[in-house]
Amino acid sequence: MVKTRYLIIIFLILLLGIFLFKYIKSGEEKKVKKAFKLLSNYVEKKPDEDLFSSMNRIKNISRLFLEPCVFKIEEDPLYCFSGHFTRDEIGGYALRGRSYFLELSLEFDDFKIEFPDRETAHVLLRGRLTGKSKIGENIEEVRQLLCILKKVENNWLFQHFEVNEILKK
Amino acid sequence: MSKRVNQFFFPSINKKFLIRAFLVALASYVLFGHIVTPFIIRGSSMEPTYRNGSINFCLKLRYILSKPKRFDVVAIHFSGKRWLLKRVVALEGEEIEFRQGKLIINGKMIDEPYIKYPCNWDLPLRRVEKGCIYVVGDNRTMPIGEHLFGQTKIEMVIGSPLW
Repeated sequence: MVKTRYLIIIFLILLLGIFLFKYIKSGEEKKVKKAFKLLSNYVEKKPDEDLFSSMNRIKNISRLFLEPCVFKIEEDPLYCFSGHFTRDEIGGYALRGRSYFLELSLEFDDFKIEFPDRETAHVLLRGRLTGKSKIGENIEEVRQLLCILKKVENNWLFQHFEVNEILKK
Repeated sequence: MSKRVNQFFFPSINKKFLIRAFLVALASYVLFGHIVTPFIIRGSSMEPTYRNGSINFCLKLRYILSKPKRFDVVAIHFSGKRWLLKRVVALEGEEIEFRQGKLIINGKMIDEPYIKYPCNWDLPLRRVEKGCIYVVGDNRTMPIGEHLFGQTKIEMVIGSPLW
C-alpha cells in the first residue's frame, strides 16, 4: 500500500514534469508563430493603402530580420533570390515587391517547429502568397519553406529563409 | 456481471493498473506514431484510387530495407505535418515524358490501368536524377500546370498507405 502510494506520487510528478515541459515549449512555439504572424500582417496590402502606411510596413518588415539574413530561393519558376541581405536591402526588396501589387496577402500554416537550442528555432511550414498585380494578374503561389529564427532580447528574428522544393517537374 | 463492468470502467488504481496503462500508452505511441500512422486524405489528386476524405494508415517501415518501385503509391513529406500521396511512375536514371496523356518511359509507352479519367497532358522529355523518383497523381483531369507532381528525393518518402 505504501509502495503503491510512492509509485502514484512518482507517476504524478512525471506527468507534471511533462505538462510543464510542454507548456514552456508551447510558449516559445507561440512566440515563433507570432513572428510569422507579424510578417504576414506587414506584408499584407490592401488597394487603398496610403504611402505613409506602406513605408511604416516596410520599416516593420525589415525589423523582423537579423543582419545578415540568408535567403535561398533558387530554381523557382517565378524568381531567383539568394544571398546575404541586410535589413535595409530586405526593406528595399520588400518595397519593390509590394509596389508591384494592388492587393497582397501572405499566409503561413502547417508549422513544424524544432528547437535545437534555446535560442534557435527551425521551422518547416507552408507559405501561401495570393494577390492581384497592378496589371490585373492574379497570383496564388504555395511553397514549402524552411526558416531559421534566432532569439534576440526575447524576440524571435528571421535568420534564414529557404524555399524547399519537394516536387520538381 | 455488474462488478466486472464496474471494474472495467472504474478500475482500481493499483500497481498493476499503472504498469498496464503505461505499457498501453507506450505501445500506442510507438505503433501509431512511428509504424502505422493514421491520416486523412484531403484533395482529389489520387482519385479514384484514394478518395477525398477517406482514412488510411501510413506504413512507415515500408521502405526501411527497400526502395520504392514503379507504380507504388507513396507518402511524401510535404510541409510541416502535411504529406503528399502520389504514385511512382519513373525511377532514377529513367527518361520520362507524357504525350497526349500517355506515360512514356525510356521511349516505351507504359500501360497505367489505375488511370480511370481521360488525360491529355504533354510533358517534354526529362531524366530522373540520381537518388530521386518521379511521382504523379492518378487523377489527371485537370490542366498539367495545376497538378502537383514531379521528381522528389527518395529520402522524402515517408512510407506507403496500408491499403
